[in-house]
Amino acid sequence: MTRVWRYELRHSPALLALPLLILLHAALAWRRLKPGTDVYLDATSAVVAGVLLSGPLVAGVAAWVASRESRRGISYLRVASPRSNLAQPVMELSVIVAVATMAYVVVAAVVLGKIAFFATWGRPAWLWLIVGWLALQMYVVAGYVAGRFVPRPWVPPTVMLCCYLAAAWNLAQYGHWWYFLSGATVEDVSVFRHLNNKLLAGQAVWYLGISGVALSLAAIILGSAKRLALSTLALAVAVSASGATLVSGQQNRLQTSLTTFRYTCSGTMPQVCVHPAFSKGLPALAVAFTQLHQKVAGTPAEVARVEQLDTDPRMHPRPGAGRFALENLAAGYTQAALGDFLNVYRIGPIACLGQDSQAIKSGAAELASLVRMWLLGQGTQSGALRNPSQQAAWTWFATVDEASRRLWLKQHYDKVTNCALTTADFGSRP
Amino acid sequence: MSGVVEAENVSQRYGRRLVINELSLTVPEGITVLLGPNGAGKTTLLEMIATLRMPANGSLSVLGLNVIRRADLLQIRRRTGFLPQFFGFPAGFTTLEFLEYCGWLKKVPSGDLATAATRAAELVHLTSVADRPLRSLSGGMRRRVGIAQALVHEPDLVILDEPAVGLDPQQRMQFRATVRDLASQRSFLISTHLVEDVEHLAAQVIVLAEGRVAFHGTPNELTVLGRADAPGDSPLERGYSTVLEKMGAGG
Repeated sequence: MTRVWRYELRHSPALLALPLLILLHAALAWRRLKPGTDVYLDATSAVVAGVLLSGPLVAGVAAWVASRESRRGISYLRVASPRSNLAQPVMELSVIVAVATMAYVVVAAVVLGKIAFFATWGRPAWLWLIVGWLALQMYVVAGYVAGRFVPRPWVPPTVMLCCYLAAAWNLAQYGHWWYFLSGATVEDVSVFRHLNNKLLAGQAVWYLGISGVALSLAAIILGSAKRLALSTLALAVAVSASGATLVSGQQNRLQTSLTTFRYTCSGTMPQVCVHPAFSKGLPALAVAFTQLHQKVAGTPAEVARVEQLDTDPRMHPRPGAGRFALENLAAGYTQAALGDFLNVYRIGPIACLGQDSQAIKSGAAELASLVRMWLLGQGTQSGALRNPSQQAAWTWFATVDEASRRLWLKQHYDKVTNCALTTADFGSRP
Repeated sequence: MSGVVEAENVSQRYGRRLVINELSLTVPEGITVLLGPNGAGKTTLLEMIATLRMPANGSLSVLGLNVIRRADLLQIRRRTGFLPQFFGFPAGFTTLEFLEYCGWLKKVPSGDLATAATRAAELVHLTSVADRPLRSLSGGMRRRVGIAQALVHEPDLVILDEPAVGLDPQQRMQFRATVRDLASQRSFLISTHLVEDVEHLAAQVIVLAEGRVAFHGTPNELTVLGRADAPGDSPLERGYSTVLEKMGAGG
């Protein structure tokens, strides 16, 4: 078997497709990696997401391999064999499974290997990785069985196209429970929460069940041990149904309870605390929050400590601390963190959301926006203001010294955060 | 006398068309050639003997084993080799790889696969191209690979459906010489259109027409039947034509 398996591997179209499989999978996985952070959870999510591209391709390849027997006119070899009718298809299929596994393992090793060098927290989510692998194998089995069912040259490209279309359609189904039954799911994950292992187990059971259904159907078509194949089909249908039930019961929650971790904190004022996975960004964040702290001193936004939290508003920092959300350490992440911190205090045009038209007409949002720019350290240019009176007001703000601006903010904090700023609040008039 | 193949009232249909019509015959050991016009049912009969399809009616035994019984069926498959009329092959495989693959399918023990494949290649004089991909071989060589795959597991009965199709005269002569060499060890059942194959190969000849046996005997017996005015360039061809005319299938 080993020798013949090697021959099958050497001449399998699947082996030819291996570089492309790896390339497509790696391309999407790499693109999904969050910049600047080295988090196992993100990397796992990226590897699993890569199946979105490699899965349909490998399904097409499997369909091509399966229809080879008909194209070559070699069914007599299998049919006249004293071996089981399934022996040769199982060998063909095992080669494709092996090739798909190789591609998956290579991408996972490269992506997780990169993380392993720099990771400051966490570990690979093995169950999720296995689920991704099972999803890939589901594509293999589905493609192979389609190729056996209809061994025509147009079937492999059709299988591939249908799988890509189905995957694209499924992405639009995010929020529905059946989203997780597709072989290709793309997820943004939070380091603050545990993965929902029940959902993942449900997915694994579903993929296994569906693969079992497809294989049983193939065994029935090939006419080998039909009674056994029918029993297996019934079992596989039951397994699939169990998987779907398990998934549907999880209410789309890929992540559940909060993780326990110790913040990595700066020794600055305010004390900036980040998730250990983000500790690489702490020095720059500490500098940024220190500068902001000096500007908001004496206002309610002056805090002694800020904590990085999930975007979920139901999560709260410790009493007296401020909060900010940060999903990655891409360029401009300090601005993103400060911006989110200011949003919590409604500093900026966010204060005018839902306000009446009078407030909007008075230009409060534009003026608040410029105040926010100053707080973020983005300068005091007034290019956005078209109204001459607003420009004059802002010119005054830009020309006064930093101490005067801070004093002004202390005096006008309520107006800034309530969308009530007018040009009259600035020291100069046209 | 029991033969390598015994059929009794065997029928086979394709849809409404009766292809094999209550056929009964006994194929003895040695080389037997199956002659008949297109559509006579030769390929269907050979495929039933090779167990690629089951008879719709009647009983069929091969090498003393009943094709209907599961255990017997697997034994028959182990002990017969088959070359179909349209010989398909995986083009990228080398000759030896393909023969090993066929040996594996025929349950040759894995430790013996390489030896069995080499021996089969030697039998059909393909050693020089053993490591060449099948796609690079000439039509005649591919045909010999087809025969080799039917021999790789050392079967007791080799079934060849139109093995000389596409071969030039020299290749046909080589093919016949090869079969004669191999026939000392095993039986051959060969279907052909070519009456000259019968002259040079067969100990027995069966003429099939409209799914029935029109003649079964030696080549000499077939020759004797030939009318002087029957179509044909040789006495054997005239015998063949006469038999078909009697069956009303001469067209």
